[in-house]
Amino acid sequence: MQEERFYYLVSRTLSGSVSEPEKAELQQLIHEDERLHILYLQIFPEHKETEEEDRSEALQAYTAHFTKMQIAGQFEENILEEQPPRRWRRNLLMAASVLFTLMLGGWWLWSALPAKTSEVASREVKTPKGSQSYLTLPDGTEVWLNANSKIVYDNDFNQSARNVQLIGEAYFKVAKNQDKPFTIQAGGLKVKVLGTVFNLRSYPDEENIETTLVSGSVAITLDDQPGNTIQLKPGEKLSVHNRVSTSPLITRRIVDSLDTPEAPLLLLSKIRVDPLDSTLLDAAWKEGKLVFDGEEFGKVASKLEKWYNITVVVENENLYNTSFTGVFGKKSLVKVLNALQATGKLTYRQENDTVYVH
Amino acid sequence: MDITLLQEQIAIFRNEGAYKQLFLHFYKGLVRFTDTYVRQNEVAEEIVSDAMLKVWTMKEGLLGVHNLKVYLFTAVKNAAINYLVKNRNYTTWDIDNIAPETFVSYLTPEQVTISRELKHDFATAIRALPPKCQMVYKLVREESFTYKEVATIMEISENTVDRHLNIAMRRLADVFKSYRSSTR
Repeated sequence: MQEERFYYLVSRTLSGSVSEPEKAELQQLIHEDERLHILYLQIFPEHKETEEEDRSEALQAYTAHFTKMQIAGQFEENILEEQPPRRWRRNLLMAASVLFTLMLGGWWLWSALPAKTSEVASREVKTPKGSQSYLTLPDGTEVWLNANSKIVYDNDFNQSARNVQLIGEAYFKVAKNQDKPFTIQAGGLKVKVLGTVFNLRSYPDEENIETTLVSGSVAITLDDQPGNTIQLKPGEKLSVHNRVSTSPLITRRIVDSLDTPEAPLLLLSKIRVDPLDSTLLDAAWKEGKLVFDGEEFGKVASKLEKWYNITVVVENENLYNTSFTGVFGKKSLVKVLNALQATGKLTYRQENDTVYVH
Repeated sequence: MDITLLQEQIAIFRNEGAYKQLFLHFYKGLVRFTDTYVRQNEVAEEIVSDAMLKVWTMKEGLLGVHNLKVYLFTAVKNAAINYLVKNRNYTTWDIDNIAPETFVSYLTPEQVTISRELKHDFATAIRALPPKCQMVYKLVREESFTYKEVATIMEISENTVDRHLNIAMRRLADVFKSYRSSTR
């Protein structure tokens, strides 16, 4: 009797249709009957006995395989990437620092006129704090919209051009169309795209506007300097300092830090990935992961507020100089806060939707 | 290991580290499996290496592969059959009657202590099974495939997979019964 049931449960497991109670029942069966346990282990070995040996053999084989790949002309792209950095980029960084005041004005101008195209009706998609959404634009472009973000596009989008405005953070998979360049206006900059995958984070209340390029190519133009563009290569990330922020929290910080060395206005860096599972850190939010990548608490708080739709009150100024690193996959607020607390760098107490951090 | 993430890394970032991880993860299992067809280890290794090369050269196409494990096992199986067809002047094989003799080691994890003798009897019982039945058992046990995946690779229905595995389990149970009665 039990044996028949055992066979049945094993086949349910292997066909992937097993239910939780059935799983428990199967465990119970093999727990009670050593004979069934042995049979069970025949079908579901606990670990591969030859695993280590396999791995060393596979490593040897990989050496040979690697050579074969190179002979076949593969693995070349990475070698090309080791070219010296381009000079114009450095020049641009220097020039950019001059532009700081101009940008400030530009941002205000833009934020004061959120809908420049008054003749054509526009559509907008908004996400509240604590939620994300996914949409497809009329041209087939896919957009993942992070919490507390808004994307606006005209009704005639894709007729002659493709222009969108973004406030907040989005991950774009832009549909290829050489004739109609895809342009995103965000904060004080404009991103021009030709078929590409990238992440753009531009919250008015945060310090930086970050563009992370996954594949393809994008050209970024600062509003105040239409003549200069910065072209990103795949795997690069550009942070543009967003000097104007409406949040009192960040504003205070900038005032405070006036005599400290300034953060660079433009910062070009490599994309960072999670060493554990190779997730692209800047786009991990799309997979439901909350990531702090060596970020100071100001940004951590801002991310927490948007992610969990809460308010964070920082009671300890020193936290703004303390950085945090961590990747949280679909964890509750309490778990994340407890993990932050476990670092010993802060303590917190929660009252309804407000978290006080000391 | 999240295979989909590795695929994304390879397809989009051309990440060699991810590619290496993928290679190491699948290599030995694929070689064992291919070897059941071609019965020549060097040939099996060559076939697997070619299949892995293809993974890299597919670029973005790799993102369209939903189950890479099944994809790879199917690819090497087809390549192995092609190889056998091309070289058939030398030996003839009945594809349907190839049994995975060299596919597997017959050891069992030792969480429950079982004797060397019983291990041996289990191995003999498995070897006495019909070829396809053995193959199903090996794929499930050694490579942790699900019914659906085995069905795809072997081009048989899930019900047939179920039947084969049931036969294998019953045979093992019989061996165990006679072992018990003889040691008591």
